[in-house]
Amino acid sequence: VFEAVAQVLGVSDIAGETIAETLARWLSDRYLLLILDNCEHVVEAAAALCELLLPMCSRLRILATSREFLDVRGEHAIQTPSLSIPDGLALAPLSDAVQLFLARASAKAPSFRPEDADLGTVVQLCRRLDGLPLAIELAAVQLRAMSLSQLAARLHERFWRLTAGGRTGMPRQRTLEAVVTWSYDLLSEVEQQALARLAVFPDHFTLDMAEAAISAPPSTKRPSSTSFPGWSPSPSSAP
Amino acid sequence: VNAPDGLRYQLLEMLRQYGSDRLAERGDIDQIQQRLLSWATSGAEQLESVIRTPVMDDALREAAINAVTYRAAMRWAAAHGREGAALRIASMVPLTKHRGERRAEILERLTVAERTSELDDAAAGHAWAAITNLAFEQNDWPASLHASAEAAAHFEAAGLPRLAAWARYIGAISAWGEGQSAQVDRLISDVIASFRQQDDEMGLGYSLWVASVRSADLAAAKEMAAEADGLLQRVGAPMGVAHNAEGRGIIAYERGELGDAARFLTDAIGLFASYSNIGCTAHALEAAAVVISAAGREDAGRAGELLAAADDLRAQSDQGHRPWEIRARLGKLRGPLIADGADGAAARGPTQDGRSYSLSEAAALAVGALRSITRSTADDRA
Repeated sequence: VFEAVAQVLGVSDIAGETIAETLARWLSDRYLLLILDNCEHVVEAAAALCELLLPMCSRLRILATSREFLDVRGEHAIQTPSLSIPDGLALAPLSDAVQLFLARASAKAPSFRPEDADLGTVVQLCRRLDGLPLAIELAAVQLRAMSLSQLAARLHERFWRLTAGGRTGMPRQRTLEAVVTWSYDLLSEVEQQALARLAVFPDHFTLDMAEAAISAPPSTKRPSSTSFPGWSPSPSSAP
Repeated sequence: VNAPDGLRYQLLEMLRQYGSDRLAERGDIDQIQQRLLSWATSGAEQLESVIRTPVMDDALREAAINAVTYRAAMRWAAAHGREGAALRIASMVPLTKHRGERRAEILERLTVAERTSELDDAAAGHAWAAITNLAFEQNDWPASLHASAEAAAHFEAAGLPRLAAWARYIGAISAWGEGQSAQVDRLISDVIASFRQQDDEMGLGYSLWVASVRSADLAAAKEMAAEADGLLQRVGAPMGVAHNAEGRGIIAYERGELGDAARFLTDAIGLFASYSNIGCTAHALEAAAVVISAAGREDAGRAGELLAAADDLRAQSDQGHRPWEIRARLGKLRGPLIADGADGAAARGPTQDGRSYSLSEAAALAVGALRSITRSTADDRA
């Protein structure tokens, strides 16, 4: 990470110094916003860079995007939720998700001319894509090759396999599947197993339910009923 | 995800689909689905253990939060020949709020489980008991009566006499709805004896309430209702207390004790409304309308208004008329009430007139008039 940052900033190696020391000296009197995008696969190194540079470079600010917290001193985390999706159609045109979809669709598929009657389908589509900006962008591109109703129908399939992005994006961001696979591959074996097992829940779940699905080795033994919230033993006062 | 029982978690659908594929690749999917089924059957067992106890309503509400997950487990069980497990989940967990759909689903699971010999008497009893309750809620008295008899027979065969008594209790009210008076009184007499024998205070309280509202002997009715109140208060069954308070109001009205009638009905409406029980507030409002009209004071004009409000709430609740309403004589009382006590708008009904009553508005309207009666009768006595 140090080398990558130095390269982008045009900072060269100096004999007798580590690249970290050179960077720190170079940044010490500069006003700079350093953006570290997608840190999750180098989270330890990114954290080390922040820990080293920030105390020494008072004018330096670092904006890091990451699936995981860096857990460094002074970190201020801002979670970025999915884009808003309206419950009804009245406010749909004002929602972030719908606006993004329509903007990307008109930019990438000029023949797409949405009508009022299409709004419900667009809302349904955005909801199916969980309001994820990248998913919405990739889906909107599909309108070059299919109609809105065809696209909506495909959402019942493994839609993330069907969507393909542009040529200039990073390979891991050209399809939703690639995005998820890239992220999945960063997980440890235990974490991968946990994610896979949590997929058994078709709806929301409690922490206890999650632990019950993930933790114990698969077994035919029935789990203790007290493992699950909401299931207190039969009250002794019950007749 | 914020849920009624606290913070919950949910995978984005994209991640869930992806994880599901990875689960299949790992060869774990059947084992994990089996684990989910174990969780679901364990939950169904817990519900079976609290059915017809004061904690039942809370347990059902909590189970309903996981309805989608329970349904997934039930479908997996059915697809893998575990019809007995699928039936238990369908019978015990409120998988849908739509009563007709749920009733049909349980019946379908029951039929399949019978065909595949995956059925024991306890499971069959719970399935028929669930059908009994759903048919009762739909005012389908013949179906409820039939299902209650099936449930009682299976529970007896399974050695579960308390649940058999509860099935017969619902059967008694269904028989009342069917107009089979002799059968109602025979069944209620049986279940009172049965609940006494088993020390089921909640069952005894409820069945004494029905017996009191059925009884033509008003002194005995008053006594039974007082005993029911003590029992239902003690076990903590607020809806039972509310129904019984309504019954006591009706008995007091028939005894000519309008002050007591107003006081009991105030309690009933307050309880029903505080639990957002729209359908039961509706029938308590109708009882209130009768008492207010009978009091013949300046509030008499509100009687028709209350009947209109009751109709409005009843429409919102999707709940029909109950057999015990004004001891099943409400129909005869309604006409004169509307003709004598209300303006034309109330008689036409609020929906038609473009008006609507919220639960709290309707309750406040009734309680105000009833309290006025309570105060006036106290003044008269003084």
